[in-house]
Amino acid sequence: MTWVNAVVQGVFLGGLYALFACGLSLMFGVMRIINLAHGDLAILGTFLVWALVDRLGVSPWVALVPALPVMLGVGYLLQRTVLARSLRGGPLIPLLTTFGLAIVIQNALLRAFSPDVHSLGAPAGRISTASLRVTGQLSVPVFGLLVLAAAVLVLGGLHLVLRRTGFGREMRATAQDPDTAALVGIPASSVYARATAIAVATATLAGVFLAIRSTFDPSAGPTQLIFAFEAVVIGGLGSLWGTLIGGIVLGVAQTVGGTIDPQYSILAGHLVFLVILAGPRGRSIATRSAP
Amino acid sequence: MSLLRVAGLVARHGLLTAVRGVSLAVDEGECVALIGANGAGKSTLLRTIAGAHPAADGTVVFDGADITALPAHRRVGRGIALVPEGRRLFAGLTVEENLLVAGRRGRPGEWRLDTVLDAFDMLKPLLHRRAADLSGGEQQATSIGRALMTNPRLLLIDEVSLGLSPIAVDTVYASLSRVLASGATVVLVEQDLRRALSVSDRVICLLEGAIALESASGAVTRDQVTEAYFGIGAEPR
Repeated sequence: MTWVNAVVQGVFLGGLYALFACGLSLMFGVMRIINLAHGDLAILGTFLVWALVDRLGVSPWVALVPALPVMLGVGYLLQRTVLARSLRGGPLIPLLTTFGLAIVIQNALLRAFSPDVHSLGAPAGRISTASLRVTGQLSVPVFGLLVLAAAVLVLGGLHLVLRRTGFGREMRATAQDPDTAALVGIPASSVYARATAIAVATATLAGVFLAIRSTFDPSAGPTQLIFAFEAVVIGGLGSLWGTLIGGIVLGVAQTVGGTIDPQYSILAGHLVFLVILAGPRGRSIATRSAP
Repeated sequence: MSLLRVAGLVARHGLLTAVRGVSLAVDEGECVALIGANGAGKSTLLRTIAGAHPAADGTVVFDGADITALPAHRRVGRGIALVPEGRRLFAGLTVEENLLVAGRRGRPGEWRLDTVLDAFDMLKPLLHRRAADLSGGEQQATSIGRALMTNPRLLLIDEVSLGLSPIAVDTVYASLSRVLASGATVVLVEQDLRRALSVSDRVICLLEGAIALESASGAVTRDQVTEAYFGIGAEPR
């Protein structure tokens, strides 16, 4: 039963990782940018929610209502100002730019909020600890279920938007060939800005789920970036459903590893990632040009 | 007044000057064929008019407004559409999606999904096929249809028949003649001289980035074209 429990917990944890990863996957898929500040942008959004909760005494869910549009705006402006310029400099410049941005965000948060560790678990109320008992030994955490459902909704929603709407078609066309997209009137810069806005907002949502589930502090971003990156690579670059699967594989690896020995939790996740990177998919990533 | 007026246009690829001081005008409803050898600057000229390539010097005036500095995606809104060389369809999108994605940002007008499909009826059974899985002729039809979806006032077509089978060329031209009959203004690049002359009202031959010959398509002789095409008898440079 311990193992079944570990797998169940891993699936829920995977939902969280997938939610972190979907913005990373979207930005890579549309712009070919690996956003190294993705985790830190998530933590920035989480601090915004935490500040609202702290000052106004509202629940994190209520605080998300103003915070998500603000973070959409942050993402939009980030693309319009910093990333659009760096994109013109070739593929390496955005990597350096977002790396620098990550450091700037971490240190700004450190200055504004001190290195204290925070959690949104208590303000979120009972939902963060409640669980449904399935059998005598197996219980399902309500919050884990909620996170997984949110991940499926967000990834599924994004998938539908990309497949079914005019805006989604424009995004896919621009991802494939931005120069030709311009020839049918699509301004790549505006598509890119909207993709970044969505990525930052979903990262914020993931950050808040992380903060309710456990704790966060100004330096929590890079760890989430690594997990998100691993989920994206395991699931296949640019594929949203693959990202969900990738997140779940990573989550299950971590919880199963942690059941063997608590020290092995993170390591097991890294090992699965490395095995996949060494396999045929990893080779296809290494040799891939623009798909 | 001419719909398009190009004056002293210069375009470069790095150190190489592909278009050197071209001036031309296209009237509304006219079909102009652009001919010339490989590397004569035909594609670069079309791309510069569409805004896909920067002009190093000279001006592009469209409908009385100087659009030389306007980015490509804004020229689409003014009514310029380019069918690029090599078709350049969005390979992962279906034929229908390739057409629809172009219908959002262009001008309103007679060309919609149904009217484009009427003109290019070969595409009707292929709507849900991925563009990557089409034959060359089907791709070219989709690419022209995609440009039409923006309801251009000026349609630029680069290499109508390059790489297509003879039958596909016939099919594409049959559809194209329906487009021309509707009064569209078209500038097209065509390697097949006979086709170029039969479909167009006027022919312009480029030689090493400059206009070597400009004439009504019906009045031009084969010798004139050969001379302009290859530069035989031209001043040594």
